[in-house]
Amino acid sequence: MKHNYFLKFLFIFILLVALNPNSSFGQDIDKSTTEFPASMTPYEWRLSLGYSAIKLPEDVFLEAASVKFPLFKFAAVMGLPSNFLLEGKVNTELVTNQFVLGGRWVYAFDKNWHADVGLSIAYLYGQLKQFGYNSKISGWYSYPSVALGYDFGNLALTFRGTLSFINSLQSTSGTTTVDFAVERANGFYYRITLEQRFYKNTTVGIGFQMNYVKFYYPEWLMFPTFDRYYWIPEFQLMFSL
Amino acid sequence: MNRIRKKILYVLPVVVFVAGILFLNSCSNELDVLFPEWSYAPPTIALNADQRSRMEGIYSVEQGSDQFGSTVILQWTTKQKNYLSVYTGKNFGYFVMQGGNLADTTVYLQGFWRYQSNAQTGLTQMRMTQGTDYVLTGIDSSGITFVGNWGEGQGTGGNTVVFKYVRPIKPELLQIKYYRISHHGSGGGPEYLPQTENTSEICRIIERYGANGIEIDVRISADGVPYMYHDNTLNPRLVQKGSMVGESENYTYKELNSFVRLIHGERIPKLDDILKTIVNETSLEFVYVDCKPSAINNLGEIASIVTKWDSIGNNTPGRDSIQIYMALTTDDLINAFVQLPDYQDIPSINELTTDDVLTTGSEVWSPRWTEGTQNSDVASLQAQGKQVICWTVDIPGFMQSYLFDGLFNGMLTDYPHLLAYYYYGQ
Repeated sequence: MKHNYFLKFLFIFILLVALNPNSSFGQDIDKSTTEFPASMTPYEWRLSLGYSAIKLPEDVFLEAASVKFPLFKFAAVMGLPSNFLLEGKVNTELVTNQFVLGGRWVYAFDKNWHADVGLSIAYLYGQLKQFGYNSKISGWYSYPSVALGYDFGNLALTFRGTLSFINSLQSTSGTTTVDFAVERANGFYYRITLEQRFYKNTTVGIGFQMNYVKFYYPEWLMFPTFDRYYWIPEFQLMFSL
Repeated sequence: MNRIRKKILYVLPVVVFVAGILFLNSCSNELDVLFPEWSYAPPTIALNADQRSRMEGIYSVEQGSDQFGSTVILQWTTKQKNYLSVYTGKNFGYFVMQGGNLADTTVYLQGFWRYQSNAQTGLTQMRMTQGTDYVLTGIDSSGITFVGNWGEGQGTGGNTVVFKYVRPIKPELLQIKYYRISHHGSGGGPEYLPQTENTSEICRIIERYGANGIEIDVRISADGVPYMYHDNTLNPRLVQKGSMVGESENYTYKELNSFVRLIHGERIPKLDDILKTIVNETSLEFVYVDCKPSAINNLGEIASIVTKWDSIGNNTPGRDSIQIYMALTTDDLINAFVQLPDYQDIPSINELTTDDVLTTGSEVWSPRWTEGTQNSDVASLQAQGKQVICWTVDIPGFMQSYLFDGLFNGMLTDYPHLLAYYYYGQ
């Protein structure tokens, strides 16, 4: 609970101080963002670091409180010719890591409205050998996505929808390994992100992501066996570096 | 234009913030589960033990295999003798049915089917179209066939299902004690079964769902009474809306009993009451009393109650043997336990290390399933006369692997019917 209060405080602080619309900016927001669907100069790099707080459904993840780790997200985006972007991400919870590689193609309708479509492939690897666990998980995901964004100049608002497909998933406990009989169509998530200049040429973004999935990889240790979709909200805070 | 843009820049973060908060709090994962019931049951004569025994066994699914898989297992529950359970294996499925001899011409059954992995369920009924004479009299064994129908929800439906007898359950599997222990009787969540977990009511029905044991959770109230409740707080997962909030241990038992209603309307029971129900009204053979941290406040009382009902259960004429244990789950509880007089005579389970099992003189070791089968440690303790039960195995692949490749004496699971399906299907 203290953890939540801290996040709320941090969130409000950023809103009131960092997102000051009277700040003077050196350049447009789309020159710094990693989330907004903006094209980049070929071979230019941008990096970002994010943190996600997750609200798990209590009726399912009974033991979630016993093993819970913060979820950090690192992202690198490189511009390519013809408005393509190459994107790599590492999402890590210390015991769970997802390595994502993909591409996006960006289209600008005008100065303000932008969109992209993309496809990413992700490898999941998790391992825990403490707290009564001797468990591993590995598997492959694919994530087609589409995004629409509006550039206010100093602010950028992005809506991104992503489908989640599980290509394979194996779990090991002790010396026993089984294939998870999960469905290939795992669900979807959508995210609303608001980005603003933060410090020098960096940006800060806040995002609300709603996952609607059957298998939520960061919580694989508490994987429920119900064949149903769960709404799992995430609050995200991200900084471009 | 610039003024409008500037206003938007002021307002937008606030709008996004408010929308975000609403967004995070608006999602609901509540599941609306129906428990279908027949409005009419034709009068049947209950089958006797021999007749029931002839019906039990492995059946092939001649029609309806898309819904229920290719093989099912029929078994009568032992105490509630007129309940027939059908373990289907597919989608954690099962039937719970009642019935008996209908006018000496057939065996009639009616009840419901269910996928425990989601909310799919419906009514079903069946008649024995072949083998009635054999079941009723024991002669003229020419095979048994059930023909029936199933529907979705409260509708009886027109979907046909046909079960054909293949073979009996192997006698050695019926003789061996392999414990299918229902994880606080929850079925994976409080909305998945018609009674709330950790109540006398769930104990009365849990055998129909394939369990021959149950795990229940004990805490100590503000006035020192051991009562049954799993979660740390009074929350909507388990409790109807009311005036009581926060940690349940902050209240006296009288307050909990008076003002708290569990989600299916039951009251929070005392440990003493729930064990009385289990011993007197069920055939459950294994009771795993999981001591939550507050149990340390009156561990002696828990030990006294467990010991009392273990003794009563094993000295009740006509009742099969029962093992009732208090489970030690933390180092603090172990340290408090060994301070109790004659602690080695108190029936106990130890969830920590094999060394801790020997320290507390526990009869049962209960490791977490996520540590693997640990066959060498399990065999070592079993050689010393201990039993080993792992908790809590819900994933079908692991359940099968641990059953067939592990040495455990049983498992805790939210799906005892699935474990029964794998066990009796051997």
